[in-house]
Amino acid sequence: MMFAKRINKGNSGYFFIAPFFIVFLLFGLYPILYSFYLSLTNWDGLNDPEFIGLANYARAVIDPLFLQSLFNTFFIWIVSVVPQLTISLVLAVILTNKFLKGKDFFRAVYFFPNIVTAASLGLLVSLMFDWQTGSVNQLLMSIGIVDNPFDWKNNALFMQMLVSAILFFQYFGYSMLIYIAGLQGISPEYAEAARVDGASRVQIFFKITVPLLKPIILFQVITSLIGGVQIFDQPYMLTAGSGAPDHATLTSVMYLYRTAFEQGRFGYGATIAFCLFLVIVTLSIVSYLVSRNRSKIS
Amino acid sequence: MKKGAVCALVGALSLSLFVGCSNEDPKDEITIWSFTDEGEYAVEAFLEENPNVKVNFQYIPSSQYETKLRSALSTGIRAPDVFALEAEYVRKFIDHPSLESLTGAPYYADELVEDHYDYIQGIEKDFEGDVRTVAYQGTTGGFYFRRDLAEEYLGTDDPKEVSAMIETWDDVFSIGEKIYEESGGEVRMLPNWNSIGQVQDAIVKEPWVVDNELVIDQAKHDALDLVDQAIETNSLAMLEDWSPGWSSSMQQGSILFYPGPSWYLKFVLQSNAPDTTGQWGLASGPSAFSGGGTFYSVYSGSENKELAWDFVKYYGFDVDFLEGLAVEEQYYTSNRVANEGVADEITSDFLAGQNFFEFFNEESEKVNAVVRTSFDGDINSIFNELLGSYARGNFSSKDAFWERFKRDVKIYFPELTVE
Repeated sequence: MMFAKRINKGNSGYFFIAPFFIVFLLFGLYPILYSFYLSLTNWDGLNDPEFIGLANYARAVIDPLFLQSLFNTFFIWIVSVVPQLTISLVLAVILTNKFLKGKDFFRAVYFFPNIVTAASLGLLVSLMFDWQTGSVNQLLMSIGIVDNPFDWKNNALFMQMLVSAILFFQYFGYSMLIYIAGLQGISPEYAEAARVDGASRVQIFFKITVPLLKPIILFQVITSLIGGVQIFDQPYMLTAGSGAPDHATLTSVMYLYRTAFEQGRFGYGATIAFCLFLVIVTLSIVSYLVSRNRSKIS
Repeated sequence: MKKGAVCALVGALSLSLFVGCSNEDPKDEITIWSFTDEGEYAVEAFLEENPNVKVNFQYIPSSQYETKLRSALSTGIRAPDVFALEAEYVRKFIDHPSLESLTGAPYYADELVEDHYDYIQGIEKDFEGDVRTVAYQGTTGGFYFRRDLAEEYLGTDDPKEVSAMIETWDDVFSIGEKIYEESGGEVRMLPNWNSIGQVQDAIVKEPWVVDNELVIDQAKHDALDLVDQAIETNSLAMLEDWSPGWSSSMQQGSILFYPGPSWYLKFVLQSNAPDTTGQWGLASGPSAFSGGGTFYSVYSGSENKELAWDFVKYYGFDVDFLEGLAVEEQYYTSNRVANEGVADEITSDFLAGQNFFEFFNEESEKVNAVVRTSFDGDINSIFNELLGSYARGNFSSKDAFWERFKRDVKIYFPELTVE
C-alpha cells in the first residue's frame, strides 16, 4: 500500500508504451482487419476489390483442396509431434542425469538442426530422395537392397512422412531444451524420496517426472500445434512448390501461397489466411483456458 | 525561441525538398523494373547513345516480382516507368489500364511490331489488338541433340538429316525404342513428358478458356496419347526438368534430344554441360514451338512516358542495337530484320559451328500464333503437373485424368464453366 503511493500515475507512462501499440496497430491489427476485409472481396491485386460478402467463406468450407490441405497439415503435424515430444523427453531426462559426462556437448548437437533453415533442410532432403540421382537410392542400389531406383516422390504417404520427419529432425532439439528447463525446475527431493522407498527408475519417470512435467508438455503441444498449422517451407522446398504427389504434401499455407501469390487471387487467399487465423486464435484460447483452469486448481 | 527553431527547421527542410526537385529534370530519368538482369546490357547500350539520361535499373527476384509489380501498378505509389513481364503471366496484366497502349500516336508500335514474329505479336497485343508490351527476345524452340549419340544411333550428326528423321512423333518414338534397345537402356530419346507437353502446347488452336468456358484442345488430348506411346517405347528418361539428374544428364550424354527454346543454348546447355562444346546440334522436331519470353511495358501513369517509350522502342526495335545484342551475346531476338541481318555471321562453337540463327529464322515463321487468356498460364501449370503424375502411372485411365483436371480447374477458377 505504501509502495503504491509512491508510483507516479501521470500520463507520461503512455508515451513510453506508445511505440509498441503504434507498431502493433500498424503492423499487427491493421493487416488482420484489412485481410478480413479482403476475404470478403474478389481481388486480383491489380483492379479494385469487388465486394462479394461471405461467398469466399462459403467456397472455402466446401473446397476439397482446402479441406485436403487442412487434413494434410494436421496429419503431418501429428506424425511429427508424437515422436518429437516423446524422444525429446527421453533425451532431456538422460541429459539432466548428473552423472552423465559431456551433457553440454550432446545438448548442442541435438539442438543444431534447429539452427539450419527449414528451406535448406527441405532442399537437402529433396536432393537426397531424388529419383535417379538421390543419394538414398544410390546407397540402396550399391548395397543391393533394390535393383532399380525407387520413385519416392510418387508415394503420397511416404512424402507426408518425410515432411513429418524433417519437422521432427528440426524441432526435437528445441523441445528437448524446453523439457530440460522444465526438468531442472523439479525438485530432486521427490525422486530421492521415491528411490528411498524402493521405486525403480521407470516408476520414478512415469509416476513423478511425467506428472510434474504436464504443464510443460501441454505448452509444447499447444505451441507446436500453432507452429504446425503454418508448415510451409519444408514441403514447399521438398516438392518444388507442387505439393506432390497428388496434393498429398499441399499444406494450408502452401495452398494460400499458391492461390494468392501464384494465381493473383488475393481475396480467396485472404479467406484461407483468415480461416487459418481463426484456427490459431481458437487454439490459443484453448491454451489460455486450459492453463487458467490449471492455475485455479493449484 | 523553441517555436522559432521548429519553424527554421521546417523551412530548411521544405527548401531542401524544393531545391532537390528543381535541380533535376524528371524528363531525363526513368526507373525500370525487371525480374531478369539481362536488361542491364540494354541499359548500358541505351546510355551510351543517350549520355544525358539517367536510368535506374532495378532487378527484383522473380519470387517477389509479380506481387510487387501488382501493388505498384494498382496504387501508383513508386511505380516504375518501364517494367518487364514474363510470358507466363503477361496475359494477367495486358488488359490493365496501367499498361500504356503503344498503338497509334505518338508511339506507332503497331507498325513497328510488324518486324516481330507472328507468335510474338500475339503476346504483345491486348484483346482489342492494341500493342501494350514489347518483346526483345525471340523464344523459338528446337530439338537440341548430342552429335556423338546421333552419329552412333542415327548414323548422322547433320542437323538437316536429323530433322528429316524426326518429322513426326511416330518417328521420334520409333527412334526412341531403337536407341533404348541398342544402348541397353543407357540412352533415352527425351528427358521427360514436358518435352511432349511444351511442343503440344504450341500447336493448340484455341486457348484454355473461350467465352468463360474451359476448352480442351485436341492437341492436349493428343499429349496424353503421346506420353503413353513414349513410355511404351521407353523414350523418356523420366528426369524432371531442373532436377539434378536432368542437369547432369547433359554433360553425361545419356539423352539424345532436349527440346527447348532459343535461350536453352546459353542458359541451360552451356551452363550445365560446359565441357561438351562442339558436341551439340539443333534440329527441327515434329512441330515448331516457343517457350517463355520477356516483354517490356510503359506505365501509363509515368511522368516520363516519352523517355520510357524511347527505352522500350530501343530494346525491341532498334535494329543496330539488336544486331549488336545478337552478335555479342549470341542472343536470338524478337526482331526479324535484326535476326536476318546477322544470320550469316552467327555460328555457335557449342553447336559445332552450326548457324543456329538461320535455323531459328526458319522455325520462327512456323510457330503458331495463339492469343492466350489470363487463365492460360495457371491452367497450363495444373495440366503439366497432372501430366507428370499421369506419366508416372498415377491415373487408371485418361478419363480419370480429365476428371481430375476438370475438378482442379473448377476448384481454382469457380467462375469458369467446366463441362
